[in-house]
Amino acid sequence: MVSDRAYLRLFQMDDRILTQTEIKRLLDGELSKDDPDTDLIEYCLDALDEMNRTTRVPLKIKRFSVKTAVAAAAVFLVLAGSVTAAASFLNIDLFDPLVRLYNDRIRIGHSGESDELDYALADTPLAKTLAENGIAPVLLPKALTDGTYTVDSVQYEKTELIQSANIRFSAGKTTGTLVISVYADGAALPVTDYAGAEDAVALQTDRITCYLFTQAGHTVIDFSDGQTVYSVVMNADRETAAAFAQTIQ
Amino acid sequence: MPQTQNKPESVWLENEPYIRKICTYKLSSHPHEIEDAVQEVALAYFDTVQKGTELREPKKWLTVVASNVIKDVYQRLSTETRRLVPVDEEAVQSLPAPEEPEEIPESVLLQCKSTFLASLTEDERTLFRLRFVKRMKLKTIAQKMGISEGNVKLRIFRLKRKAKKYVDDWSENYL
Repeated sequence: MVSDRAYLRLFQMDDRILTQTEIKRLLDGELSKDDPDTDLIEYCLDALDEMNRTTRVPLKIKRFSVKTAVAAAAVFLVLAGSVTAAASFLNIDLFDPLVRLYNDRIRIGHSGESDELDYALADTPLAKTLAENGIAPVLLPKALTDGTYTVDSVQYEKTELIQSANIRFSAGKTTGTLVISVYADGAALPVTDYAGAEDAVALQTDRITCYLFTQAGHTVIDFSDGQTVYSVVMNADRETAAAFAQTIQ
Repeated sequence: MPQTQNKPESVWLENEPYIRKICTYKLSSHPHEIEDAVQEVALAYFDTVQKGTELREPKKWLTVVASNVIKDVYQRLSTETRRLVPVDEEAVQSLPAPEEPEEIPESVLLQCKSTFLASLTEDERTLFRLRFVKRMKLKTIAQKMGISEGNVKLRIFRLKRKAKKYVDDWSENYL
């Protein structure tokens, strides 16, 4: 016999069981189906509303404290703060039309453009496994293939519009997830709002430009190549995450 | 719930807030397109019913039409410009705030407890027992059920959705 208290926990606990990004992924997947589950869609929309309600602050573009740089119409702004000498390459383009910075979140869009990269890790076992599951060509952090981090699991999800791989990895106490989503339709590339994102910077590596920021104690790396969108979440500091991102090739 | 016996106007009015939410969510970076998209879905709906087509599941039909309309908007925008248009802050701020959800009293939740629990599948019952009765951690549940932690989270999310829908339907029919 289930107690009333245990039963009521179902309605009271775990209201934030999925992150905003996870709910959006679920919602986008359902919306792309020919036979959508409208109750699930409604529930996801309500869950997102609820999240926005609790985190919403007046919507304004963040006013950075470097008015002189903006006044001088400088294209790049080096963010002060936690940028260290080791990561002095961290810049952000205030005028990037794909990225908007708000005082409580960052919104990242994807152009669908590709820089015709060579995929240097295409012959690694991880890239081959991904390719066998329809995720190719891919950019991968070399740190995942050279033993710096261990790949703990790879899960796949497929909808009509998106094919994705969820790669969990770890090194000691550092753990993380890399989600690679391949969109069948460039017009459906997502515009993602990362609520509570802080200290957002653009990170230019040899191969790509990615966006790096902290969110709820984690460091997030977001980037794309053509119609493939990548999102990394690590329980690591910015320097560790930046070092990880620099190995992407 | 079948809605075929309802008048088209009532069906549209009933589903319009839902369709608007979908359009607002998917077109949040293009707020000026939201109203047009909602209107386009409405036009498609009335056009279809006026032709005598019977829609057995109008909500599902409207969802698919809304998804297609949104896809068309993005296709049109991507041909107009290859890069995303910066967000129009004023238009975003003028969007209506989401409505506060109604709290369902505990007494109502408890009234349908036994029938809801009986409606669960075996897997759902296991998940419910491990998480809400035994209050186990997600990781432990994942190990016990032989699935990933992410899958446990997704299943809990779906279980909560099922519970909410069950209670909503129950209150609509019996209260």
